[in-house]
Amino acid sequence: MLAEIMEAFRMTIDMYRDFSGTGMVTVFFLAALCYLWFWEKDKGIRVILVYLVTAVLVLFFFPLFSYLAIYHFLDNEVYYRFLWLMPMGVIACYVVVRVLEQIENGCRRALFGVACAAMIMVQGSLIYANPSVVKAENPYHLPQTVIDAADIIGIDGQWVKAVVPAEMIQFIRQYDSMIMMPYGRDMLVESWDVQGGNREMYEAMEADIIHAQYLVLLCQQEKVDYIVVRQTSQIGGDFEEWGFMKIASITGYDIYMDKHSQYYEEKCAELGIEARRKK
Amino acid sequence: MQMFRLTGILLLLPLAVGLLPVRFMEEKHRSVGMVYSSGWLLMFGLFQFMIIPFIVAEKEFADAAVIYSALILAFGAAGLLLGWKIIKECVQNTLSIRQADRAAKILWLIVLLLIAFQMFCAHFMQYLDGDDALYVAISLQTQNGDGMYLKNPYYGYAQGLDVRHALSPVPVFIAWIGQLTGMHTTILSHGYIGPVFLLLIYVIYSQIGKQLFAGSTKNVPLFLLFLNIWYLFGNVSLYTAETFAYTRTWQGKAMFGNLVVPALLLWMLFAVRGELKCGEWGMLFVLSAVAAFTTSTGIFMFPIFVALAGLMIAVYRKKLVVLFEFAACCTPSIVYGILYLFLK
Repeated sequence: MLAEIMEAFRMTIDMYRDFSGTGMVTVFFLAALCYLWFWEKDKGIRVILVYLVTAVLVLFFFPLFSYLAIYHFLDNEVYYRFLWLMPMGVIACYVVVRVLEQIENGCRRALFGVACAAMIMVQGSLIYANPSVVKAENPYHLPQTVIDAADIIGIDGQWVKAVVPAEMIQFIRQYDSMIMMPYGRDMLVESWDVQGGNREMYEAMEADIIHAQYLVLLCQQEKVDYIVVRQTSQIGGDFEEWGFMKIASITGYDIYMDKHSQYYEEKCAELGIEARRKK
Repeated sequence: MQMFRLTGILLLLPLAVGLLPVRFMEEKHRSVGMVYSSGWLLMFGLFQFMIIPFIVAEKEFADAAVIYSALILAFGAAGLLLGWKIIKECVQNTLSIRQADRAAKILWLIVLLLIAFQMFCAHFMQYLDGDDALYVAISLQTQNGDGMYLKNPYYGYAQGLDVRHALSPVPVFIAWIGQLTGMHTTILSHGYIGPVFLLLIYVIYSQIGKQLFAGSTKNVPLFLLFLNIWYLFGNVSLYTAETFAYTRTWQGKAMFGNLVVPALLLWMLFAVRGELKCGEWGMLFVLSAVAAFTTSTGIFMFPIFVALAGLMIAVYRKKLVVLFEFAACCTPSIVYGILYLFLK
């Protein structure tokens, strides 16, 4: 148990480091907290912003508590959220305003205010500078290629099953939940237990060379209706030879459909292509 | 018509519902911001109280949605009926910023522009978050009538009740809004819930500012200005509440860090000053359910925080009874905690 407590403490330190990330923002918070310890005169605010917050901070690092939290009632993936109980922004901004209040000279006050704002900006990281925050491609805020693929795959009021490349896995069921998949996001996060997804099929799809016959065999076992393949993927063999007919192409992807699927002819008619069931 | 209904649910309904608890609050707490934030919190809390039995019993979402709609309309009507007298007072308290000096007015204008800018960005910019594969897909499944937490959102296969997420039904709440408006829940989550909840976050912080700087008209907008900067530049890691506020606003965990915790802080500031009347006590009780509503982590964190706060406030105010009162307010957390462990 002692070893586990020490391990929990080590994990807590790592979590705090990861939480703090880049810059000195958490240092500003700690400095603001120290300021309040010495200079806050309002006893009510002292109780909440100083004593209570310090107690939360101490509790977070307290090895026995972190051991209980990580191993028994929370887990190591969510324990960092305990840090959210400390209102870092409120404390830091409260202190800045209190200090500003004490500066009588208007010019100095403005300078101090600008300096504080600049420090937060320089040491922080603007959310809109994050390369992952980009202009929305559509009202769904999903990749347009996923929507294009799902529009072809989906059949009104019917359940269909599709295998898609890794980059589409997370999004396709956010657009159309009637598209089922034999594997899902659990394939993308290595630390997770697989929740029942077909890892064999995922690996066959993501292999350097996709072996058409092998993938089709796996798909037929799972009664998959569609395979969506990157146009850049190398394919060993031909899907059409094994019964999956190409029904459409969208930007960067080809979509194949099992010609034995009960929806094959309906889909071909919808897309205005000739069904090749007998080929 | 969709936008008309959506405006009604996201803006007007919380105002009507919020009048009910605010009617029974301290006079100085009454403001449009308090009505709006209390309205949302009460809507969340009532949803939690009502929906969990339906989820656990694996009943139909459509039935639960009808009952909740009726319930929330009744609360809205009760709010208007009992609270119409305080509407003028709330508006006057809110508009008291008009008496502030020119500098304060300019600060308020900058703050409002910054918030509007963030709402605009939330509507028109996207962040592809992996966890949406779970939460947003659950909303969509629920809206499509596939039961509540009875299908694996990653695959679409039937499964047993997903206990880890089922006691925190934010995605089901979004499905309820989707049901009423007829909007696709993914558009709703990413394009509308995000901006509105960002507004709600700052509304709660403005109440905190009023508590911290009572009597100072200039300090509140200054505090909010710095807080806006803190939030905008808070993307120092994947784990900060600020990062969650912009990238996953519609997910329960983001709501816990950015709505529940600030609201809890506000209520503790009320408590430490002995400013808890019937309305505030009721909302603290509701807040305990809201913590569970947002995330299963909240079920455990809420009582820990409240216990620590209760201990300190009891010592500070030399009133042991505070501890018992706080413990009573944690009842929902305790009940959901037991239920969670039982179902797990």
